[in-house]
Amino acid sequence: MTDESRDNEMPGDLDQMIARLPREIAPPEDAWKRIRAQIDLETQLVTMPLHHREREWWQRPAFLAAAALLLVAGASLTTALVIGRRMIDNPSRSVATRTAAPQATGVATLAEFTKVENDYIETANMLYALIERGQTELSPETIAKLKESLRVIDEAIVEARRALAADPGNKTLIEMLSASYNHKVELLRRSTAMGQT
Amino acid sequence: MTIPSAASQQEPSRFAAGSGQVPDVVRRAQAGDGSAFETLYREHSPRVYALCLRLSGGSTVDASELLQDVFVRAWRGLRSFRGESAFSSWLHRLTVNAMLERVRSEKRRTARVLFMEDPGADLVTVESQPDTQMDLESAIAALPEGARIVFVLHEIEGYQHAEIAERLGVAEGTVKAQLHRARKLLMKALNR
Amino acid sequence: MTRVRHFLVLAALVAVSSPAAAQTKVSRGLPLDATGAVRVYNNVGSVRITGWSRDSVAVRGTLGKGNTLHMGGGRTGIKMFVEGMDERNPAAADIEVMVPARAKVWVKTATARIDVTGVAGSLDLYVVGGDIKVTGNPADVNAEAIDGSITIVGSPAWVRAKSASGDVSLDGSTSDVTVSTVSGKIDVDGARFERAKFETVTGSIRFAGTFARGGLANFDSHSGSVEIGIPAGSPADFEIASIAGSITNKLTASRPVPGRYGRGAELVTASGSGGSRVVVRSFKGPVVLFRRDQIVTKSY
Repeated sequence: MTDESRDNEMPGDLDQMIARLPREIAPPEDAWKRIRAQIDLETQLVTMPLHHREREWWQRPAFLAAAALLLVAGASLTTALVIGRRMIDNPSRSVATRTAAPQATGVATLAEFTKVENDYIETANMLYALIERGQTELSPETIAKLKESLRVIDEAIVEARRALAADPGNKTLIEMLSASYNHKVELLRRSTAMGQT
Repeated sequence: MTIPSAASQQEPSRFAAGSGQVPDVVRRAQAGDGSAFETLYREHSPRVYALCLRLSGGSTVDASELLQDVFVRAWRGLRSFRGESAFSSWLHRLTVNAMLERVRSEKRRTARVLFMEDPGADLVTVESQPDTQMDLESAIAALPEGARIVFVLHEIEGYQHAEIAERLGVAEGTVKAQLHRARKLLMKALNR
Repeated sequence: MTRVRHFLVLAALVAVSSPAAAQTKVSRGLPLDATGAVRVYNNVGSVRITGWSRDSVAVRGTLGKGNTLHMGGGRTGIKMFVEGMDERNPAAADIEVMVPARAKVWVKTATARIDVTGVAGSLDLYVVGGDIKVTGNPADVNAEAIDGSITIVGSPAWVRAKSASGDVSLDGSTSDVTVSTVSGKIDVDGARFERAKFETVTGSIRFAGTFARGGLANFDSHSGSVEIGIPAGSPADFEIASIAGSITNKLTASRPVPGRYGRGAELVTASGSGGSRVVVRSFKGPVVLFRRDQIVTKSY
């Protein structure tokens, strides 16, 4: 008797219970939508020349206006106003807990980071919309404090982005910028999750 | 829609060797056809998700993230699939690799009771009859991570000891020990 | 829709209500296995969790006017929550929950303070504006706050502590820790780490401890200062980069060099004895390495 077959001699009822376990379990209904969104984004960015992406980012009127508003009004409009991002119309209660920050580990070049950057922005948009629409149970005082923290992060993002534009090969800056985005998405995710009871 | 149980299914193609030819739907997806990739997703995601869920200790949050990770990786690496194995086997390997990377990169907590994962979960769902299938799923989810991964791969997904050892980068003896431990813990949990 | 459903067999649902005009004392108990799970919701007031040696959960405390305490569960898991009559302006409830020492504990509040003592199991603690304090040696701690502070005194094996504007302080030894704030201060004292990550945007980071040989520590800040104090002669290899800030080394003889294009600074040191790797990145916050002459090892 081989090791494998001896291992296969499970106590009878446990063996039967395992055999009855379903081999397939239907995933959450919105899983494909999220996968498709990420794939679409990567496909668009991969086919777009890098210098076009750079110009688009900095020349979008919405971004420039938002950057100015950001520093004056103290609201996190930078990411909320970035154009062209789809929003989920009817976010489920658990969308905040299911929204993970995009992964930028191992990103070495600005080109690679730009792909991830739009993921961050889209994710942050989605989460921020929940808060702005009053779809969380956070108090107005908490939302005010949250917005202040988001303003702090956005200022850091703007500074790092400006520095990166002047030094696009700086890997440390790319990592710092990614860390700031991650901070923002994580904060929004935690806030919306906490605001759901 | 009823999801068929393992006993009522043909053993899926995990062990099926590829024909050496790439199925047409895969070839179209490799060429960038999004709807072909969606077809692949619809066909294979229930199997992948079941594996994600059990490897993640029953956490629907982690399983959903892992599922997303797997299919995005599949899209990125689709061109590397050449039909040497069945597509489902290829996806299966991606899933296990993705899970192991997560385990290596961020140390996760050991077993949790299922309901701890979702703060918004309702208080109770009372089952009027004993549901041994539910108990077993919960008991598997409650296994320590190493034992759970080995148990799921061997007992549910049909991996051999040597395959698991290679995948996890451990000795075959370690795999057997983890499996033995898993069985003991499950029997104890289910007999309470 | 997943077929694997979360379940909790409800042995008995116990509800204690406080009349609208008065506070009410509460005292209830339920059996719970030694490694069972406990979930507590209380928005306003305080939650004190204490580990004990019994296989049961006991709740005692005071409910504010109009509050109701719901509690139920089975031997594997117990859940309790305080429901206020006026959700917009809930009355405070101060509850103390005794749990088996190895229980897995999950607590969520809005502004209620959370104190945990003597729990050796897992802790998941979530507050919006309240403070969190953990004393003892839980297996792992996940603590999240928006505006509240987080204090951990003890030696959990694994810690994740995140706040936005609240401060985070650790006083003890943890092998795997990640601390994150936006503007809150991070203060780490007397600890020993194998894998550590401390990150902030504008808050300051102050570390006084040691790193395990072969370990990895990351310090990230945008504009907050980073101060790292370790004993002289500790085997630690530093890689420090500041885009627009300064680096001051009072620990070894190595001197920082100007960064790219003459801005900022960089410093790389090698102890030559297989020490831990310490990576520091700062956009413009000052970085200071100093000698920590005496580390007091505490037992908890």
